[in-house]
Amino acid sequence: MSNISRRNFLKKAAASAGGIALAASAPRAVAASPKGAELATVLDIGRCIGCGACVEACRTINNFKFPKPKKPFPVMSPQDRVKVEDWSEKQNVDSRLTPYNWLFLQTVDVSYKGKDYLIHIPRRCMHCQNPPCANLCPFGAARKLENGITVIHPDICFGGAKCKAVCPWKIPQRQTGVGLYLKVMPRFAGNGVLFKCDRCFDRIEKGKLPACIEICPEQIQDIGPRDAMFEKAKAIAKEYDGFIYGDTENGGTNTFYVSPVPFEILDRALKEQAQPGPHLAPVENSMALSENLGKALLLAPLAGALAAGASIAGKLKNSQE
Amino acid sequence: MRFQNQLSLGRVYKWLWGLCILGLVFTGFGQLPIYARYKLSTLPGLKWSADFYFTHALHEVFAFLFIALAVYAIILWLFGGRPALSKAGILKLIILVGIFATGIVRVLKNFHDFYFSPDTLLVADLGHLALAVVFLVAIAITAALSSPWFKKEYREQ
Ligand code: SF4
Ligand code: SF4
Ligand code: SF4
Repeated sequence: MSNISRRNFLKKAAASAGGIALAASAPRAVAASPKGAELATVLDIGRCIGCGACVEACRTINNFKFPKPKKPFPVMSPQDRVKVEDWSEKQNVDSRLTPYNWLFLQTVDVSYKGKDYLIHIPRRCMHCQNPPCANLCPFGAARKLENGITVIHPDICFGGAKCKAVCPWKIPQRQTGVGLYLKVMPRFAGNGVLFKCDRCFDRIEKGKLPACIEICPEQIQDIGPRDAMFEKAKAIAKEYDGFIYGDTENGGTNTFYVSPVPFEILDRALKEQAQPGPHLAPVENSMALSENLGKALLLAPLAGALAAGASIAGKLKNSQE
Repeated sequence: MRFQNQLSLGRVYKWLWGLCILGLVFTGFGQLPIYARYKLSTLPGLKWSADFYFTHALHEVFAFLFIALAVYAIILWLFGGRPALSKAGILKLIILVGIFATGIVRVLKNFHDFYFSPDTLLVADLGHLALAVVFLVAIAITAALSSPWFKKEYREQ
């Protein structure tokens, strides 16, 4: 997609995007989500030069969303089980994910088919198509917007970090001392708010590009409808006989990394070269069991009805005898 | 046809119903990140209680039992003289219907091809939790007052 048509597309996407605001103007309550039309990104990591401009842009553009915790933090019980997570004094850290850094670069030195590569991998939330972080959040704070973006609502999140526990890449990052828990029972429940890449949903609502995509001097990223982006990812992969990560991971994500080196090699290198943060290993669909059990629930009324039928038949038989 | 007392579901049914409510409550509260924080999962044999995916699956297994038992009771009620519910019974039924409805939304949202707006889910998520707490209070009160599900005049024994 050219930049112009991409912008037009984003304008349209903005018009149909469900807002994050609580008082959103009654968006459609339920829809058979057109998954192919969700927003997805392609990252051609074979061309990333590791300049870090995207990381810087993300930090600058999203700065106003970063936590502003009040200190001292309320004491939390039991103290040996619930730890303060405070990044507010380390806001400059940009070499890993933190509540103040939603995108960072992993760098690995690898060889493949007799060729050496220095690969830089921009890492942030994958925006899963069926995101366990949002599905399993008990408070409706982690949520998926209709355009496929997952966000964590900072005014609803209680900071229990369940989204992080269930995320296959452990993406969301906690900051203690902010959010709703402070107003409820800060000693006994909650521990701040979780933060992660929100795909610059607010910029997208205005028809703008995410900051990291716009700034990239090499234009290694693109964003658009998932089907089109997947086609693009396949075309890039074909060009250099490469590989795609994110299309089937966790049941399908809205992020496609394309690499000239197999992801198993990159994943191994991440570990061997002690790169922090998310892996690049294959990921099974986290929600598969839940989906299957959910479908089985449809049979529950039948089971009850059969048991009742048997019971009534038994009683009739007894009364006749 | 008229069954012996108000609704003769039998002792096994009562045990299953109790087990089902207990299971739903335990695995339901396990969806909040509290069992690890409050060390329940450090007790021998209870490590699984802090595994969200596992307790979530168990919750759905108990939900299966819950729906089956509810349908069983409704059919036996339909063919069993249809005894009138007491006020406590009506109240508990309304709460259960609410829990069921919000629960169904929560099941459907986990399907890959279903989409609900964030605000709908906020209501379903918080509603499910709040109604579960209200239901627990309701069973505690009705148990303390020993109020039955059905009006007294229908008790023949
Ligand atoms: S990568 Fe993790 S945080 Fe991002 S949508 Fe998927 S489960 Fe949620
Ligand atoms: S999409 Fe926005 S929030 Fe996400 S990494 Fe890029 S700049 Fe940061
Ligand atoms: S701005 Fe582009 S080239 Fe630079 S590190 Fe980010 S993705 Fe790579």
